[in-house]
Amino acid sequence: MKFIFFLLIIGSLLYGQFIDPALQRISQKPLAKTGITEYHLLVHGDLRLGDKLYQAGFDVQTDIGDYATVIVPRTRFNDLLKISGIKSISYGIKSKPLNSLAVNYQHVKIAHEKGYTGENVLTGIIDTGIDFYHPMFLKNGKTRILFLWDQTEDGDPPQGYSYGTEYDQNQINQDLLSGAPYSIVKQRDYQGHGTHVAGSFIGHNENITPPDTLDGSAIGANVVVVKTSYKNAYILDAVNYIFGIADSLNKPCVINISLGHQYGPHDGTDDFNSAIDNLVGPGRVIVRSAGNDGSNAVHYFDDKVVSTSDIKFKFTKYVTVWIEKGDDILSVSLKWSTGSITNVIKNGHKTSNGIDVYLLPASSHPNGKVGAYIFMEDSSLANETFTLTLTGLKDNNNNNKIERHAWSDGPVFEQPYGAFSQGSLYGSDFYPYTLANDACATRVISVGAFIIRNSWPASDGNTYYYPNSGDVGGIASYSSIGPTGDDRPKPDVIAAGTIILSARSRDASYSAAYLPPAPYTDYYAYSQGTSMASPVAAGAIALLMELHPDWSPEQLIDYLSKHAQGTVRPDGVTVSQLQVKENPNTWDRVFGYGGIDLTDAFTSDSIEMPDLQPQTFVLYQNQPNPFNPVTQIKYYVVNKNERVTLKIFNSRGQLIQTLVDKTQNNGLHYVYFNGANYATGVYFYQLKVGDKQSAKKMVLMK
Amino acid sequence: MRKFFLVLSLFFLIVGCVATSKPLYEKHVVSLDPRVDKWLVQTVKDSVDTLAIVVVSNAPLTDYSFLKKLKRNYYTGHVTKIQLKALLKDERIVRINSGEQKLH
Repeated sequence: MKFIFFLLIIGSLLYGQFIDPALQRISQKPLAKTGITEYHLLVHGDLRLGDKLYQAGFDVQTDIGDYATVIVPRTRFNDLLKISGIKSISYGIKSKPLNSLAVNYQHVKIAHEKGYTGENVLTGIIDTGIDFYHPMFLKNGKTRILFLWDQTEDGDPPQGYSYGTEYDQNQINQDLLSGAPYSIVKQRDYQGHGTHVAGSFIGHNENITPPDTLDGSAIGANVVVVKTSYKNAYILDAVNYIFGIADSLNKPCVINISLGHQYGPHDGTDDFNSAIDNLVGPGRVIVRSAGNDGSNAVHYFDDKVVSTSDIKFKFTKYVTVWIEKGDDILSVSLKWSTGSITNVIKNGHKTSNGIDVYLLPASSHPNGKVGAYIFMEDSSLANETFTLTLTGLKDNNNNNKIERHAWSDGPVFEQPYGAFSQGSLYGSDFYPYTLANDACATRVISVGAFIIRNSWPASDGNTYYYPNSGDVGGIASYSSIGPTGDDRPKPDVIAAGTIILSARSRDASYSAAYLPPAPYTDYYAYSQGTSMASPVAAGAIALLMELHPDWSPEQLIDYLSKHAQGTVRPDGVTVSQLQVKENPNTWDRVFGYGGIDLTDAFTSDSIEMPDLQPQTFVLYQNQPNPFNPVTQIKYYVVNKNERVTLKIFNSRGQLIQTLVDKTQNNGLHYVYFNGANYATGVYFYQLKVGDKQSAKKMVLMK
Repeated sequence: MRKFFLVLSLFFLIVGCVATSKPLYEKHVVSLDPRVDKWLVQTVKDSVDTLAIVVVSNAPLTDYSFLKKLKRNYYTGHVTKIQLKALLKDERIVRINSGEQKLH
């Protein structure tokens, strides 16, 4: 029997079938050893493969043209090999469910080893709430949540605000210890989105073995959570609230917002994003998801110089159209098979059949552009095609173009702009300019998603994957593509976003396919989207902000843009099949600058000080280095009578000795450091001259 | 002579009626997000239903207890139709916006 089985396998190979080596190996073992009585297989072959398998009596789970997943009893494996048209059979080694896969890609462990875990950073999450009972957010049995503002339930609002209910750390701890869950803190995360985001951002489960199996990045950080009702005004209040707490704690702050929409000019000039740009600053950073519309027809563009232009789209909640600054338009009209709204002039508004059309002049918008707005509410028109006619277009700029950008709530444009491919592994086109409107704000960090895992083991014993969605290292098919509406480089970075394993809210429901096998099933769940990529990035950014508490968003983006990392194409996958990020630190509309990499920040000889003005002083590398136990530190002061300090820090950032603290004249200075009383290891010496500073690394080796 | 004065009076009357290039009074218009405008039209209960708004002004707004200052001249609040109408008359207010987001 065994001989016939191998004969069939060898025959299959000879006739061009590919059989997963893992399957060959496991099928050679006696049944009792493997304990496997059936295989869950991915089969690739001719079109209508699923039908053939079904007719042959196989249990077909998923049928996608020339691919099918099928459960095959071990005893019927030979029958499967006999079916004509099968090109390959894949078994797939069970993936190990690790969130660390996503987080560690950014080399956060290097920061952790240096003692940077986020303890000196305040993190903030504006989302669907949090399961505050989840072990990832507890430390020694007590909550890591400093404040929790539930904007959706009125009660006792935070000071200065008139709505929602605020809970502080003491109240949360009282609830945790009360034995009556939610008797004091009534907030719950029924959607699970916020809990999942929080896990990737700051989560740390002390009880999971090995300890780092399911950690986020900022594992030592405290957090302020705002459960929001998604309204723009409330989100601004939430940002203001969290930054206010950071002010009172005198800590840098990183907020993650995994929300968005396509309404607006996509250039960061709308009032919401202008307000955001004003709220962030040195030590105050916001990280946002880029959006999930990378392969959706949510954007239209044309720039031909014409007097009349038509834009066709299906029924959607809203469409906004933006005419190039300086150019003009006389009116807009909207037609569909059973009605029309005609000749809406500037400052005009007309309505019919539950559809509203507005045309607002350039003076109404901070970006100086004329904007048209269409709102649709009558779902009886859901099957209609609408034609928006722009009449009286004028190239007042005389630059031989009239740029017209439009964005819609859903994928409705009949002629979306600029379709391109990321490789044949994907089943759909990608579109530029599909970033969410609020991912286009000038001073937020905008995060796209790449694939770090393309199949996953589930609690029901099956291994799942999304067909036609790329492979590991590629961009996630949903990740929104840049640039912004005014052609600025966004997204800034990418992070792992496909099939992220993170905290599961006990109040959210998940199908078995999105829950990991035991022992993780009860507390963890899979999810994907740029919503998931954003907190993965935010956690690493929190560690950077702990190292550089005064960095502005611009300084942070400067680091991210110069120290990014690429993604790697899997073995056997060609360029035409999958585009990956091969050139980190150069921006492209799909991957931004690449993935975050903390390596340079936490290991470079000279910790970067972007504001450093070299003409103020020069700090030289110590000699000798490594040293035992004495080394010389040399520096040159340019200006007379400058206040100079030279301090020594250990690798945890703790001050161990101050060598100089006085006013010094210009010129070359020498100082000696004696490490006789200190242990072998890495030390930093930091020179401050006036308000400028620099630091370098040295190694004491005994 | 009488005819001359009649024609002259008619001339001055006509000239007096010709509009000058500068209007004597320009009505203040707040730039309104169409979503706010739609809500204003559709809302029935003037003093009950509220809308969450973002307000941009050209001067500090300290006299509205229902507005919270964010930074500079950016304010948030949730307002009734009556309160919104009051804001629309305020010459310090430049723009009023609304809107909401969804999960990614």
